[in-house]
Amino acid sequence: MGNVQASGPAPPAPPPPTAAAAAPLPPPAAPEKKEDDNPGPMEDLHKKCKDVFPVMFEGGKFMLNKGLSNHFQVSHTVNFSTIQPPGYRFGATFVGTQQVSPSEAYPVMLGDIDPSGNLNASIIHQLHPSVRAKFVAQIQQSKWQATQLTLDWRGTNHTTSLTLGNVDLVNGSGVAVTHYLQQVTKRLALGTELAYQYGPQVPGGHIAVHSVAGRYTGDNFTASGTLGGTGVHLCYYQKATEHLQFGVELETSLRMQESVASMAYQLEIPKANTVFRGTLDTNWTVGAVMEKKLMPLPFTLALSAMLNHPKNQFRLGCGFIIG
Amino acid sequence: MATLIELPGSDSGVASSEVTPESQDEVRASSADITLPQVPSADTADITDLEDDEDLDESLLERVWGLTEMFPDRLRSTCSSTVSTSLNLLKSTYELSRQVVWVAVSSSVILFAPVMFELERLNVEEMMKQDRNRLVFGPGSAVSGPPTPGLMPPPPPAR
Repeated sequence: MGNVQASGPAPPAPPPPTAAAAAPLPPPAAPEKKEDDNPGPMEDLHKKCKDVFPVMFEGGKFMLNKGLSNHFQVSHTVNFSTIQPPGYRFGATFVGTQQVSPSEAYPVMLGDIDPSGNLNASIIHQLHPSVRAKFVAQIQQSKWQATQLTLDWRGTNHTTSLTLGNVDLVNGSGVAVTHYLQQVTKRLALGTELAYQYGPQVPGGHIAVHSVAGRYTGDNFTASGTLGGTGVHLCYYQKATEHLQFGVELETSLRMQESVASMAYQLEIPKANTVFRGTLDTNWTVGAVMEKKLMPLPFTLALSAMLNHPKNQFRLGCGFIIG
Repeated sequence: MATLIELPGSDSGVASSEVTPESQDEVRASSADITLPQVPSADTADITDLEDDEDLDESLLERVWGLTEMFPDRLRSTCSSTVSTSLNLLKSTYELSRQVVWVAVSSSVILFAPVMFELERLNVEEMMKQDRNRLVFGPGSAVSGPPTPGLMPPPPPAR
């Protein structure tokens, strides 16, 4: 007769609403299963490098995120700015019940709207374990500004996507883009893209542009590039230390006959709960964004600065995010 | 008829004297040939030498400038172009260095200053924490608590 430890079944504690709702917001591009070699969609080809670059903003921004339940989260944003009219935006995120993995759940519906009716909305849903669909719509001033429907089919070692943009059945115009990305070896992924646009404004009725893409992943670095009719886009990402990452990007546009090279770095200081990103580019533009979490309360302070030397233009942004 | 030619700055002797044909001549002569003050006018050269010097009332600068006439033309032009080129070079170097320094300083303020501040702050906080720990756990008396910088009043010494 030993001790019988009677322990009732511990009820699974619901994760805090903000964490659960915030986690599946952008579907991660990392391979999902252990032996899965999936290279991720073509949109995420340059993702690692692009994540290092800061996104500068201007003016004051005050954002309040509130999780109403496990599945639903709302955000109120107030923007004070000199270059854009100040305004309020309301955003909502709904995460569905189909739990694919511990960090992803579908469908995901995001939207934000402002008082004059300008709406950005997107719906992401997993139709099948390997097929994911995303629909993005933008309405401005009571007119459909942009729509985009993307279908991704993730195979074992390849990803095929089809994107239809701005399909206007009335005027007979639209854009269709197909991507195919194949993981050739463990480190090398090669892909191709075909963009097709048709419509009355297009000279000749329709136009197609073809390009090839590749990505090589090393131990500490990733090099990726796209080469095609629209130009060249090369990215290089390097992880210097655990907290320091670099990214270099070269973008050439044949249509606009210009090319820009930019360099960025990201430094995390976990002890100070700070993430700092800085960028410098050949247009003589310097920018930086610093995000600091003010513990123990869930506040985040974001400071952004951008200085354009030739135009002598400086933009400073300060944001405060609660939740 | 007699006309009076007014020389700039030469109102000493000429204008006040009577308008005589002789003085007319020398006025006309000296106004025509102001760089060579020793040119003899008609017949009054010997007699009016002193008047000549007073008539041609040049400033010091003009006389010094006149001295440069002794150097050949090519040397003069080379000198003047060298001096003006070096002055321009100096000015443009100054402007360029201003721009370079401004770009460098403003870019480093934006790119590096916040990181430096955060790291410094972190270091100072850690040092203070270490000091505190040393005071508490080190050869600490029961008297003092850790010195807190301005957050709480320091505990009174217990005697």
